[in-house]
Amino acid sequence: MITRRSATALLGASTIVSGATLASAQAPTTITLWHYQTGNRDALRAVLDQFEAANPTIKVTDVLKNNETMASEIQAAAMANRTPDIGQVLGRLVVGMIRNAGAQPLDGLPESEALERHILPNFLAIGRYRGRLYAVPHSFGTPVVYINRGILRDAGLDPDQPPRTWQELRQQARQIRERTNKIALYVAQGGRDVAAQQMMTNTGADMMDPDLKRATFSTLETIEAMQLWQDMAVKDKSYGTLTERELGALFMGGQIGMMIQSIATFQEARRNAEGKFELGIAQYPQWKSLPRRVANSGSTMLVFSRDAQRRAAAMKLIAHLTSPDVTNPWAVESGYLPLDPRASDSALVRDYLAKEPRWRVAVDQMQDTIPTARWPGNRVVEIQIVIENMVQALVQGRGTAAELVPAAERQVSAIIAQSS
Amino acid sequence: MNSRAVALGEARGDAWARSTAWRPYAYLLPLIVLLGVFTYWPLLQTFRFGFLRLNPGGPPEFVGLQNYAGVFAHNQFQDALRNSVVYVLGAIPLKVLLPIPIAFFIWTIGGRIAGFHKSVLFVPTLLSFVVVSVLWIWMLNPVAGFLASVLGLVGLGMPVLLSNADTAIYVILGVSAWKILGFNVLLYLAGLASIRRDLIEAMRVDGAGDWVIFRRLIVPLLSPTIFFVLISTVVFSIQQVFTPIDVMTQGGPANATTNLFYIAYQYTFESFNIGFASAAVTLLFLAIGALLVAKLALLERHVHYG
Repeated sequence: MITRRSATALLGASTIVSGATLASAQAPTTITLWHYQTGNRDALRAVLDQFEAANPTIKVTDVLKNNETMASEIQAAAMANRTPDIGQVLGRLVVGMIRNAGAQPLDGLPESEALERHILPNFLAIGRYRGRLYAVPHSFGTPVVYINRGILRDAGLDPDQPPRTWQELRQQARQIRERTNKIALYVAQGGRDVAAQQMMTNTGADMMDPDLKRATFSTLETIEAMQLWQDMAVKDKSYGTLTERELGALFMGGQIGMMIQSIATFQEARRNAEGKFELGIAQYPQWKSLPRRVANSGSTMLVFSRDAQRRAAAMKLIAHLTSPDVTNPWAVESGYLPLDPRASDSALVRDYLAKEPRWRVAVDQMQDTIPTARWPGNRVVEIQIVIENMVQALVQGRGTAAELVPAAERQVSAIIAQSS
Repeated sequence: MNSRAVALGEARGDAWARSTAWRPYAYLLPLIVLLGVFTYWPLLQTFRFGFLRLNPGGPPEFVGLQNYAGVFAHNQFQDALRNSVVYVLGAIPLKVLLPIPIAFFIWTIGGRIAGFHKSVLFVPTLLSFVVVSVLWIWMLNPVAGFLASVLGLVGLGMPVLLSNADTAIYVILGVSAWKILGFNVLLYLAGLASIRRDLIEAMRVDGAGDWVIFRRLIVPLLSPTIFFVLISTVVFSIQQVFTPIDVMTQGGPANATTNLFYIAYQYTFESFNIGFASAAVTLLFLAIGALLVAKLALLERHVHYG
């Protein structure tokens, strides 16, 4: 029998329960995003504010981290079960993040199907692992040739006829060296190994086998390409062999003829060149007559939340960050590659290209950009150092490409076999 | 005072001593706790991690000496070990021996001019290693550097030093020594200040020349300071080159400038390979420890503390 007193208690309890349910339905889900957008932090925050306004039940806390130590911090956080919901990590570290930090698959989550529409398939490939999608590209770069048009003119070259192949590039670089006595070319290494990867994949080679078990970059074509690099440095003396920091500063100071560097540097190069030298840009040279095929530089976004509600909120944010309404303005503002397969049809991109036609190389090279090697395991830096050392030994003439490239491949395969 | 009063006094003294015996331990306790938590516990953990592989979402796995074998097998470690020896041995003439004659010279001249010399030598010590490293990058740059401009005036070219695998390590060593030199000169000047000048006069009266005075009087009396500078140089020289390596060469070209400290940093903060990092740090700790024990055993008997 329900007494008056127990009925009152039941009513009170049900009021509390329904109130709590209502509160939980209305309480926002706060997700954390770790990123390293040092220069674009305000722009990123504006995008996040826009997302929060459109999704009042989700709040995003953005935390600025150091690019170099981000992967370590996420792995340390994974050990302590305190990973961020989303992390921005360099593309080459995606597999390590899946294996050692518990990155979560995105396919199957609500709104994930939008990714296939909004991102070029060759860009989205960076996030695929064993048939599932784990990461999406963000702030992607592709290598291009930055040209000091004045130095090319001084060397008797036509800056409107930039080198189309590496063979033409070598000829032009030699002419610049002979006629101006300046350093003709510098290739930015892009975090130790990316430049070497680009040189080798451009010849048609793959850095690893599809199972990511061993390195496969030592081929007749890659050896020939790396030998050309050495010949430019040792025989022609046209290639700059100073440190990365010095060479970058010298190009920006108008002292070097050409620089191969990510399109992400475009805005910085444009600002630096103003009043100093006339800046031109050309596409990455092809290897002989082969189609251009260059490894990307830049980062990806991965989701680490294990809680279903937070993971769904994180996916919603990822879908927002990769929608053309965000990626096209982001590319135009920052200089990074657009992700949208139809970027060139966008009014915003068209207007920007009309104003800044040099940036067209970015749009033109989108289809030629393939995923960077995603070195597996926890010894990525050691692998990168092996490749970096190979390039440094080459340009210092400490062995031929036929000796150094196969030796580096063996070392990388050995490290992959030993790493977890 | 009768014997009863003495006994009473002694008893009171004993009781006071007993009641206050805990005090030294209480005063030491905060330091012991801090050292334990922030130095010795991490050290023991580092030693332990050297035998483990960390697994996300699971317990660590005991792997025996696998991490040590992996570290030893890699040529990056072999290069880092060889370079570490060069950094330590190269630091001794530059950071331990060179400041002695400089300090002796300043001590001898005395007065305001000595103060000026001290200030000039000490300024690099006040600069951060990052500033010093960037400054030297552009001093040595063969295209647009200061030295290239000076050499260009007499028709000479500036050689490539920093990106040459044969010379880069000596640039790093030189930059580190340039920054530390003034500090070590000051340490030696402090040691020299305790030497009585009348002893020198007495030796001069006996016909001793400058070299004899330096060798027979100054060096023995300065030996505790020399020993201190030597020990601190051995312990710190591998750490002191960390920032110049990171800013100027990142360990390259072709591992020519990396060292054990730098690869331990890379294993930890770039790869999160804690097993390898712990193994490398343990090896570094043992190597420096062995070097210090050897130095203490061989050299301390020659130090004149009197």
